[in-house]
Formats: sequence, C-alpha cells, structure tokens
Amino acid sequence: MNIPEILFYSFTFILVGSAFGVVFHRNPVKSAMFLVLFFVGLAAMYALLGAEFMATLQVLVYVGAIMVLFLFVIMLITVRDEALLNMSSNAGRTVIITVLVLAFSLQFWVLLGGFMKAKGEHVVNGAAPYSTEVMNYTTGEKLLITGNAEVISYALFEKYLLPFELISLVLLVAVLGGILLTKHKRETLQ
Amino acid sequence: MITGYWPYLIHFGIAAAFVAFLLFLTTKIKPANSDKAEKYPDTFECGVPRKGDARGMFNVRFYIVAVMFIIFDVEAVFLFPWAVSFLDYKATGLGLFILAEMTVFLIILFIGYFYMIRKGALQWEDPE
Amino acid sequence: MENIFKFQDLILSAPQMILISGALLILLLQVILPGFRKLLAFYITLISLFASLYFVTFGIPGTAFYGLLSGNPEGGTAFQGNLRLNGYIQHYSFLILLALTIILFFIKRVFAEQKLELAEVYQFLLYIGAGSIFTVSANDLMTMYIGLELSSLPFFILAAWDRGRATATEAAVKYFFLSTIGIAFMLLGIALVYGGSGSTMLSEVFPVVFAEDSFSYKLLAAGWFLIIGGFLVKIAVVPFHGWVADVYDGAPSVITAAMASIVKISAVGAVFRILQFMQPDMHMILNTGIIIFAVASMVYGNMAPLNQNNLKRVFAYSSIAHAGYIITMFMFFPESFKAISLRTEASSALYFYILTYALTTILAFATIAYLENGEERGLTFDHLKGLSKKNPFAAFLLSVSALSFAGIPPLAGFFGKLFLLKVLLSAGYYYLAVVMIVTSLVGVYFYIRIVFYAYWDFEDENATSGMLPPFRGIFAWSAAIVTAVLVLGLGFYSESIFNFARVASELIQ
Repeated sequence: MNIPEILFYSFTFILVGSAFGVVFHRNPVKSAMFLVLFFVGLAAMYALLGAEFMATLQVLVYVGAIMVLFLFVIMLITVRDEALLNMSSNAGRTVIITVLVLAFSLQFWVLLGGFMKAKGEHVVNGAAPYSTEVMNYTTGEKLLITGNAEVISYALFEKYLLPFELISLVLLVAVLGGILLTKHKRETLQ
Repeated sequence: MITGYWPYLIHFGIAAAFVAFLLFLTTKIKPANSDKAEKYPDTFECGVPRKGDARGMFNVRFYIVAVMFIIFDVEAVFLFPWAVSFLDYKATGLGLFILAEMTVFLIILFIGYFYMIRKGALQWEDPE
Repeated sequence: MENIFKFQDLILSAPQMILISGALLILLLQVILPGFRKLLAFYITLISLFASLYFVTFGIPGTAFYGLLSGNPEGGTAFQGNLRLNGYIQHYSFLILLALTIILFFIKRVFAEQKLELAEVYQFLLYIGAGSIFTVSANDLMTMYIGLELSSLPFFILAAWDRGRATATEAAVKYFFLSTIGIAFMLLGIALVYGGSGSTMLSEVFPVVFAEDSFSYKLLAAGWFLIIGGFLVKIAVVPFHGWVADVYDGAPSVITAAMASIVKISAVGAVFRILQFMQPDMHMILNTGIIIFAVASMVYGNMAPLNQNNLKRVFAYSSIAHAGYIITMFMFFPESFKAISLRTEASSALYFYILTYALTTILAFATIAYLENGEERGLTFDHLKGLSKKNPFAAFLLSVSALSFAGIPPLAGFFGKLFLLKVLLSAGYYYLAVVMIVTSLVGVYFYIRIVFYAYWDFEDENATSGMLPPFRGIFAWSAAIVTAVLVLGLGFYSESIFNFARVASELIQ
C-alpha cells in the first residue's frame, strides 16, 4: 500500500464519517459543521485526483460561501435540536426515498458489475484526463494544453459557450428571486 | 502526481500536531477542579445582563446580504479560469472573442446588480 | 472564432434569444427609467412572445431557421452542437410558447386583481419560456441541465409570489426541495453518462457501443436511468408524485396552470428526445419500469381524488393520472420495435395528447383562479353550487375542461386518449390499454361531479359563498374563449394535427 492509497482511504473514512455526522447529528449547527468537514474532505479527494483547481474552488465556494449561507439559514429559522423532526411532512418523503433508492441501487449495480474488472482501468475514453487539444487560430496548428484551470476554461469558454452564458441568466434569476422574496416592503419595489 | 503535495501534507501534519500539543498542554496546566460555567449564570461584577441564547432569531435582512454574496461569489469563480487562461487565448488569436464572451456574462449580471441597488435591496430597512 | 460561434447560431436559436432579450430589456428599463410601468413590461413580454411564436411558426426567410409550416426541415445544430433544431423541436417550442401566451393573458388580470402584479412576473415568464425551449432543443446534456434550471428557478419564486399566505410559501419550499432533488440526481446521471462514454453530447454518446457487461456500459445505463428519473420527478408520476397536491394547491392558481402545463411539455419533449439516444438494449429494462410507474400513476391519480373536496387538489391528482397516460408513450423506440413507424405514431399521439392536456389544464386552473378572490383560497365543491346562475361563463369553462379531462367524445381530451390507446393496442399492450380505460372510467366520476355541482339546482345555493366574482378583463376573456374553443374544436381536427405532427416525428434526433 503506497502513500496515495493510504491518503485515499483515510479521506474516504473522513468523508463517510462526516456524511453520517451530517445526517444523524441532533444539533443542526453541528450537522452543518460536519458538512464543512465533508466539503474539506471532498476538496482533498479532488487534490488526490490531481484536480487542484477544483479543490481550490471547493474550499472557496462551498466552505467559504455556501456553508456561511447554511449557517445563516439555520440561525434564521432558529431550529432547536430535533425540532426538525416534527416539521417534515409525508409529502416529499416518498419522492426522496424513491429517488435515493433508485440512485443507490443503480450505483451498486454499476459497482458490483464493474468493480473487479475496472480496477486500474481508466474509465474516461480518449485523451489523458487533464489535457486537451486546441487549435491555434492564427497559425492553424494544434497544441496540447495542460493544467487544470486551462482545461476548464477551454471547456467553459469554447465547448460549453452557450451553457456558460446561460449560467449568468440563472444567477440573474436567483438575484431577482432573492430580492423579491425577502424584501420587507414590496410596495417600495414598484 | 501525489509528490507535489508533500508540503501540504507536512503542513497539515504540523498543524494537527500543534493542536494536539496545545490540548494536551491545557489539561496539564489548568487547575484540577475548575468550576463549570453553569455555576455563574449572571454577569460577574459588571456588564449587560444576558438575554437568552446566543442563537436567537436573525432578521431576514442578513439573509439577503448572504444570498447576494454567494451569487456574486459564484460569478467570481467563473472569472478565475478566464483570468488564468486569457493570455493563452490572446496568443492563439481568440483574445477579443473571449473578452467579449466574458463581457456579455458580466453585463447580464451587472444589470441584476444595478437592479439590486436600485430597489434598495442592500439598504437596512426598518421592520414595521 | 468561427469554430466557436457564428452569427448563424443566434438565428437558429432565435425564439430563445428573443425571449431572453425581452426579459433583459424589461429589467434594464426598470433600472434606467424611474417611472417604469407594469403595462410596458406586459407589452414587451407580449411582443417577444408573439415574435418568437411567429418565427417558430413561419421561420425566418432566407436563413436555416425553418418554421413549423415549412414541412419537415433537416434543421441544424448551433453553438458547436450544443443546440439542435428540427421539426420535432419546433413543435414543442410552439406548444410552450402558445401555453405561455395564454397564461400571460390570465396572469395579467388575476394578479392585477389580487394586487400581486409586478413587472418581474412577466420577466420570469420569459425566462421560463427560454429555459423550456432550451431544455427541449438541447443537444448536450449540460445545456439541457442549465435550461431546466433556468425554467425551474422562476417557478420556485412565482409559487411563493403571494408571500402573505403560508400555504404559498410551503408550496414553494416543497417544490424547490423535491424538484431540486430530481435535478440533482439528473446531474449525477449526466456525470455517469460522461464517465461511461466520455462525452455529454447526445449525438456523441449514442454511437458509443460497449459490450453489455463492461463497466462503461453499466455506467452509461445507470446514467440514463437517473436522468430519466430526474425528468419523471418533473412530470410527477407515481413514486415521484408526493409534492404535486400540496404544491398545486398552495401556489397561486395561474402559476399552477403554468406549472402543470409548461413543465410537463418541456420535460416530455426532452425525455422523448433523450430516449432516442439510448443504447438499444437498455430499453427493455426501462420499459418494465415505465409500465409499473404508468399503471401506478393511473390507479393512484384516479382513486385519490374520489373523496377530495378541494377543486385544485382534484385537478392536481388528475394531473398525476394524466402523467401516467403520457409516460406509456415512452416505451416506443425504433430499436425496441423494429418498425420505425410505431415510434412515429407514438410521438405524434403524445404530441396531440400533451397539446390537449396543456390547454385543458390551463383552462381549468385559470378558471379556478378567477373564482377565487380575497383571503379565502380553497375552492371546494360547495362553492360551485349555483355557479351556472351567478357566473354562467365560468361554469361553462369549468365544465368544458372537466369533460375534456374525462374524455367525453366531442372534446379534445377524448381524441388524445384515443390516439394513445390506438398506439398501445397496435403494439400489443392490451393489458395496459385495459388499465387505462378502466381507470379513466373511474375518473369520470369526479369530473362529472364538478359539472353536476356547477349546473344542478341546489336548495341551499344562497347559503354558500359570496366568493364568485364575475369574469372580467378583455385579455382574460379573449384567452378564455380561445382556449375553450381550442379544447372544444381540436377534436374535429385531430386527424390532421396528428398527421402534421407525424411528419415532424420522422426526425427526432
């Protein structure tokens, strides 16, 4: 067992443990803290895969921003320990349970079928993971770009140009929704 | 692939060891039977008398600030790879196009930003 | 640059681009002009909707953008294959835009009366339209996902639009959570598809063929099932139906009309396209699941409203039953049935069904929106007593939609069901056809009950409800009349619409 494997298994342990902590802890604030640990562990996983850029973003966005909002919301609605248990109704439970069962059974099916064979096999077809071939538009020759941020920016700004621009619209709708739903006096908005 | 991360690992190890050392140290230094905080619920000698829990109900005004922060934080995330690879794009003759692409993205979001300012979403309005 | 973006891309995505620019224009004017009027926002929305409806119908002359009436164009791809354009997609875009226009007319009046009208409502409608068309026309799973987000986010906000009511907020929160869970698992599915095939583009995933027991094949299959599961949450078939009643009941009724029609149109259009790209042998497993879900939805959707007294809930449960009828058509693919004609039949039957269903749903919920007023929102059967005297027009509209849902012959809903049954029978799914007939016969009971309460002379009709205002507003009148005429008359043109849709269904990919 080499060092990456040791790291992988220890981070897996942290991830699974903190995920259980999120679900089973009675105190919502502590659950949120376990979620922070989970996100940090996930960032470490990205780093182990060689995706440093994703790891940075994971810490920056999830731990830095989204968890702040989580804690805010928990404070905002002041849920006491276990108070959530009485709040949830049956309406969504069947949906959540069905979707979860579907997802887990499918992934189990994939893993059971492919686990033995897939060991050491690269699932992604084609080129090596973190490089991509682009065209130089002035000279017309092809060149290989490597590096995390570069590959991601190639995907974002060239291949997924349309979804990228649409993301700004989605964020815009989120801005509008946040303002319209939380502003105290709606009359001032007219 | 993993070799580049040795400094991080060492850093992490030192940090963990330091925390463990401090925790160990406090157990050694502190008096053997320190009183629990529950013994003294009131303020000692001076200060404002406490009112309930620290986790009281927050005003929804805080939430709108937090949401706006997240949205523009996510926007900044998209700027990051753009900034890193802009020079490469310039070298391959795509500089102007990539700049225009990001400008469209930012203009759309900035309309939302000015809308937010215009509607006074960040103003601290008094609850009626 | 030509490899990444051409001006032609904008032309090929003209309907969406018009809607988006209309929405941004409204927002910009709100920021710039101090005395911005809601009426101006309404007219900008109307013009953008009509413009894109026009382009979708007639095409843009001299360009590659063919309209609905230009026969069966090959179409094309835009944005490096991120977007697809063909006759099938044009059909669904047309349907989305038609439904949005009708709903816009209703929203104008109803929200003005309930003092909920803001310029932002119209803007959100435009985002919904653009996002839905992107969902249907996406050739890439990422574009499809973002389009789905763009069309769902405004719905979460609009569901809570009436912030003062606790049920509206509850509806919004429930819709947000459950819909997001569906989308999240769809995203997981997209990741698995990418892992299995190395691409997110539908037309690139399709040719990738693996041995059936390879790891990549299983990843791909699991990914497809999760994506379809995510869409089924949107369509609300039985194991994924939990949110429907509360959300449809709690949200403002006009918004419910939009939710029940537009979300389903775009989800159905997208799923039917996705199914064409699945590896052939995955269909057999999928068909089993679809049969189970469909039967469960039909039974549940027609049994649950039997003792229900709340009108909106009755229609909400009936929408589950209709979702069950709809998904039976997901079983037909060129590979599972060697003849391509059956797929074409299924596609055009589905198109006609979803057309009649969307119009009928809009009519039903919009009429309910009119009958509600003030603080009290739960419209029950008791409120309907004596409706034909107090408000004959509303009674007529409600009866038309109820009878069309029930599938009474001259109305459009009957022909929709007839086409579905025809396809099921010709494919040999006799038991499914029997289940469909029996359950919809059970459903006739509560639809007839609505008509009965609206038209029967009750002794105590004056004792109940002063909450039935007269139908007002020129826009709403015209929209109601047009929708009712369509629901009444589409049946007579069913065969030609069916044949028209069949031409487009030749080319779905």
